[in-house]
Amino acid sequence: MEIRFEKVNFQYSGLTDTTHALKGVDLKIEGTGEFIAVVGHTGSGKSTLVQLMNGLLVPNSGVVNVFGFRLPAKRNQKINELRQEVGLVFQFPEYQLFEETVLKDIMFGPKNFKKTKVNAEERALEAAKLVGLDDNILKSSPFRISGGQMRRAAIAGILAMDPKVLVLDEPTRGLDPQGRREMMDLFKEIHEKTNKTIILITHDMDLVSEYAKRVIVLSDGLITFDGTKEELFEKEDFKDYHLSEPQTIKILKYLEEEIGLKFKEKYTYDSLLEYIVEGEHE
Amino acid sequence: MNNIVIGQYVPRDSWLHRLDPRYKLLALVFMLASLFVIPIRTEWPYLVTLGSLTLINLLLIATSKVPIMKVISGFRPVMFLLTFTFIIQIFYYQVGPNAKLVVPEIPLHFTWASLGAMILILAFYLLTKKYIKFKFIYFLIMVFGLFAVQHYMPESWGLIANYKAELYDEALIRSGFLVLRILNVIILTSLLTLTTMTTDLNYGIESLLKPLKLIRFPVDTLAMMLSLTLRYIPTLLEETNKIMKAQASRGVDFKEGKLKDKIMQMVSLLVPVFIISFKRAEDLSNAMEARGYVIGAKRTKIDEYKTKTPDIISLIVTSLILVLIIVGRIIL
Amino acid sequence: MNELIKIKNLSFKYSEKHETIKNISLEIPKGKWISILGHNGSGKSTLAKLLMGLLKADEGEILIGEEEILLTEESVQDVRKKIGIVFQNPDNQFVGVTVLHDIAFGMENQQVPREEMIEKINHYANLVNMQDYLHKGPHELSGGQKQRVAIAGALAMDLDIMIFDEATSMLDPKGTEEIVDLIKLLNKEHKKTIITITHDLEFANLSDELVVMRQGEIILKGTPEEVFKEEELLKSSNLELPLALKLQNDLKHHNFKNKDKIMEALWKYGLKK
Repeated sequence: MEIRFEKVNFQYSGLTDTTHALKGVDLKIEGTGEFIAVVGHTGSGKSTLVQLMNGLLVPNSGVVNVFGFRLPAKRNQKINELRQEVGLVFQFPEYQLFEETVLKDIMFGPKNFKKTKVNAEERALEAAKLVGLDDNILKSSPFRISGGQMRRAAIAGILAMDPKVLVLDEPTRGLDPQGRREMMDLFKEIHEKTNKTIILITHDMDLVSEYAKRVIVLSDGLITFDGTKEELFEKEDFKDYHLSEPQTIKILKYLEEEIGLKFKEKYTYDSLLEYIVEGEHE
Repeated sequence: MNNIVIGQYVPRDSWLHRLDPRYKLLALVFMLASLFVIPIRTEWPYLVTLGSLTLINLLLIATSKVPIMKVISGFRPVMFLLTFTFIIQIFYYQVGPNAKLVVPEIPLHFTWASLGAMILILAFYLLTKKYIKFKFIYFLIMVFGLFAVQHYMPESWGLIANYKAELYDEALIRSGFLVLRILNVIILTSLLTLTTMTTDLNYGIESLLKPLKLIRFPVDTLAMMLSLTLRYIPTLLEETNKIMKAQASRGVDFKEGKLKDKIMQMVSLLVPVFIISFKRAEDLSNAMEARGYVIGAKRTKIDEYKTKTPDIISLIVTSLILVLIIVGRIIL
Repeated sequence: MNELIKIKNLSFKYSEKHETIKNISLEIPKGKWISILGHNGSGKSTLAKLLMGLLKADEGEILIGEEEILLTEESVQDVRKKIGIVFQNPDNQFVGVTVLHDIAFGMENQQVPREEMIEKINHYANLVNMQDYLHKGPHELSGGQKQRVAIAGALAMDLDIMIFDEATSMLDPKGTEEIVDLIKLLNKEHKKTIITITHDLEFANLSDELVVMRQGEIILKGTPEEVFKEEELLKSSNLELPLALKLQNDLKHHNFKNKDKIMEALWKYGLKK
């Protein structure tokens, strides 16, 4: 059970020109256990890539295979059910809220799919609990709660659909530092509890180094790197990717330069702390 | 996805593009008036007048260097309505005593059987039209079928009424006249939007409305509203698109659904768009006020339009045409 | 002396339930770069709106400029000639149909003559590096580019004070860098008084003074070095220290080799501008 891209090409046809957003992309993502960060400059094809995963977009050439469902699909094959399997959360997802109450809105997604129609309310309540929304909020109108709560409600709306894979497009944009941390910890918790594959589009290299396992780098429609985060950050030619180094690495490099502390690659905050405290750096 | 063109403007280097928008708009108004002032009569002077105006319009298209397909695509929205009008006019217009039949009378029988057949044809058409490429031709075939069925099916199969299809020359010419007139209107308005940038159009409208200031009509404010609307159309389209994708990702299938579903689809799209728009209105008004905007206060303008010779000539020519036609109508 | 903005005992409520700003007093010296920080809802954006006269304070005074103009309904138009603001959403403040028209907007409001407008547009478009985009529409621009246009539009009014209300929070790293570089330029080279509203302490580190708000009150004021020492207070307003400083703080309770050297180095790194 996996998501596969085989030589996928995608072009946007505008009124005056076409943009070749993805050029011959090959990719394989397991249905469980992965935590992938998708990075790349604006316009590199990240949004296009994830929209191909739930059938919002269909390849011009090549094949996308999502848990056995082939895209491009045959005429009249319903793509809709695919969207329950791959849950896509867009940037600023709070804009998708529209129902009378927060609970109703969270239930909206599950109600649209055969698999989850039956116990939509139950799923919604569970999802709400997972993101930390209490009963008072569930009863309110989605437009009378804070921005952070709105975002959590929107994400709960996708979680309630019980997708196999969770895809998130810059979920922490615009959040304050604590909000950002809470959101990322939530995804980490979901990943650890359910082992769902999580795919995260982000520009923040610190998020990548703290949370991701695998990194896919896109540049001008091509995948220029696909491997573990360690492999990426330790590459000789890392500079050529035009990505910033994570803070943890920068700090370690500085410490080596300033006081001769032996440099060792550490990517999470906890591992960095540990490294310094355990003093193996002599 | 950065190429949303506002309106239909096609940048070209033609005299029509270079016309001052104020004069262009006035000239358009005169030409439209001319079209509607010509009486709908089938005698040759009137036909010649309409024909000349049509020729002028075709010349305009040619000299505007705008691709003719763009103008023709402007016909599409009204084609069905035009055909409908044309057919009704042909068969039901009361012709004068001198009218001659173009083809011999066609007897038509409206029977229960033919009614059933017509319903079947209509249903078949509606179900299958999405597979057909040349939709307009298919439509014409369907309409032809509706009439054919009333002619060829026997009278005796449950007769409701008998009537005749009488194709008179007068009616034909008259219908043609009406259709041609509407096509001319479309050509003129298309030419306007194809050769004028929306900012210029905005300015033209604002200028023409200026006299209304005398009766305290808020022309400047209206112009600002229009300008802001134009500025936000591409942005709004993009946002609507994003919301559609977000809702589609939650299982909304915008292509299918019964009426109840369609309503829900609309709501899931409209509510977010409204909310975004309200937030935008609030933010925008703050930004505008912060930059010193006061509703109704005097402002200078960065845009400047200078009247040139072609502008004056266009105005004189089109007003002459209108005057001539009015005079002609009075005399004849 | 030389304070360009004086806020005295300012209070403001949006509704009966929450007091958004509680008795704030603050002075912003000419030519300084102040960052106002706090959690979402702490009142920082409200403060910006009050400074621009977009909201009317319930209590207190705001004095602007060397002449110390009291901000009132009558003087608000004059005050807006002295302070410019760039808001968070690049799309919701872009008024013009093209870059040219948008930069002109503020000047049109002030009835600046056309020749002067053209000159200023060219000058400031160049300053923000958008001179090649004058005829582009907003839908053809990135977020960073739109914000740059907003800055040009404000500068064209020959303002001395600029407020940036979370102006980079909706931008990608490239756009953010462009704006941060511009702000640095405006403050260091053009001697503008800058107020940045943000919740990014790394960004705030670049400024001269930090003001931390929580629930409508100022809980901390000082230089970056002074403010960064108060991790608990910062946390109470949902703010996070830059990583090196956070690390330094957490390491305090441990004992390990070369502790002093490491702590010092981390502190130095964290305060690097």
